[in-house]
Amino acid sequence: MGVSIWQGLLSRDALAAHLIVGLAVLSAFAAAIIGGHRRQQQSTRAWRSTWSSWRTRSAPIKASILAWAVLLGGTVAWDLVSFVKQSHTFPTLSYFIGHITKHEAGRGALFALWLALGAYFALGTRTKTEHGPR
Amino acid sequence: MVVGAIIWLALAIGTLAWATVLTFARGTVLSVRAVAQWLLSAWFPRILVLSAWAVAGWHVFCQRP
Repeated sequence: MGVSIWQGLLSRDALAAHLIVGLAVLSAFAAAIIGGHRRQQQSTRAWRSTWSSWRTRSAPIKASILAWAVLLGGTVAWDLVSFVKQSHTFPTLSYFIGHITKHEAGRGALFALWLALGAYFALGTRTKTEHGPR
Repeated sequence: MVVGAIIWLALAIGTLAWATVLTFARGTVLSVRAVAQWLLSAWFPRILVLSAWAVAGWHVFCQRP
C-alpha cells in the first residue's frame, strides 16, 4: 500500500519509479520460481495438449473460447495497429491509461492493481502440496 | 470522436457484454477464473503471462503514459 502511494507521487521519469517497478518484477519472478517449484498443476507438455482438446468441448465452451479469442486478440491487434499508425486518429490503449496515470491517485491505484495482479500471476493456482519433478 | 476511439468503444462494449454473459451463464461458459487457471497451470504459460505483466508495468509506469 505504501509503495503504491509512493509510486503515485513519482513521475514516469523518476529513477525511484523505475527501481520500484524493476524490483517488483524481479520479486514476482523469484516468487514464482521459488513458490512454484514442484507445485504446478500440470507439465508444459500436458498444457500444450489442451490446445487440441477444444474440439471435443461442448458448444457453449467452444463459443466462449471464440469470444475470449476475439476480445483479447482484437484488443492486442487494434493496439498494435494504433501503435504502428502513430496518429491522433488512432489512439493507443496507453493514451487512455495515460489519462488515469497523470493523476497521483490514479497512478497509485493502478500500481496497486498491477502489484496485486503480479502476485496472483506469480503464486496463483499452485497445488497445495509438492509433487514429483515437472 | 476519432475512428480509433470508436473501435475502442466497440471493444469496451463487447467486453461489457461478455462480462454480462459470464455473470449469468456461470458453469456453462469459460469464466475469467477458468481462463486464469488454465494460463497459470504450467510453467511455460505462467512465465509468458508474468513477462507480459512485467512489460505492461514498465510501459505504463516508466514510459509514455
